[in-house]
Amino acid sequence: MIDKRGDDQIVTDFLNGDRESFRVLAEMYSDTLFRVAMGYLHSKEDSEDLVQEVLIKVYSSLETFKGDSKLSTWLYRITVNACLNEIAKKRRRGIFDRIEDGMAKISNKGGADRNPQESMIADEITIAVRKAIDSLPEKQKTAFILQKYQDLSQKEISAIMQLSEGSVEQLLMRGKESLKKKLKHIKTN
Amino acid sequence: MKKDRSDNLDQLDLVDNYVKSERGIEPDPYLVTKLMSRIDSLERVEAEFAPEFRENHIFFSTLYRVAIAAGIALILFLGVSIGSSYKGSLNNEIALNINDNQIENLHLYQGEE
Repeated sequence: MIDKRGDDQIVTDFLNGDRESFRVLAEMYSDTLFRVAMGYLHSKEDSEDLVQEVLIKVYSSLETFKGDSKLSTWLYRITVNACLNEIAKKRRRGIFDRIEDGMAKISNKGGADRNPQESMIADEITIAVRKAIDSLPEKQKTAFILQKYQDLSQKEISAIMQLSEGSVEQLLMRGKESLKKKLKHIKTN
Repeated sequence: MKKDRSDNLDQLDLVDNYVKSERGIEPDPYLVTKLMSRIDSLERVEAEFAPEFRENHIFFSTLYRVAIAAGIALILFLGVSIGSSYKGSLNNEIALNINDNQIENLHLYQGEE
């Protein structure tokens, strides 16, 4: 059933004790937040866990949402911070590199149709692209993920990152250039 | 120049294809249901154990601080008492034994009697 209430109304209803409103809110945003998390973590399970953690945090702190920005902006900001924290935690634990190869194979779709050589090349390309994205500086990566994984406009990205639109444009351009440079060694065709 | 441009396009295509493949991954359709049941159980646990937990939390945090203070006091006490228990060497003969005068009769060379 499609809920026609706006974000503000849903938040107000939830704060007035209507617990079901939070379910509506979670259903509205879980896919969106999942896609952002995928951009950072590249793992379905990790992204689902992260979205759950984020939404639990939102559930217990929704009364602190002042309404200065849009609810979606607030949620994106929490998710981006949670993803960055998760990556830092994983790096500290040193497991990020170990799961990398395995995840590349999982996310490689249509591998069964290719011969082993093609499949190996595709795996290598996937790993190279992922490494290139992961190695982008934090702000460039955030701008890139919000644009590519979520199709957000520069204005929306600037609201989430609390930067000017010009800065976001620069970050996106630099990110693109950096990706090109990092993938230069890959020969396509 | 044209080749460079097509290479760049290819590289960005690779990135786009990768992003497209990741965007195609759908989350568990029961994600929200699981979330709500997790919230339920968290709330239930909190309601059940919150008063006890709060009391225990205060008790244990106080105990923790007292334990740290006692540990520091013990270390200081041990340091001071071990330090003051040292009385130096009482055996002065060792110092005499290493005196060259006793090992070698220098007076023979000095022509003294």
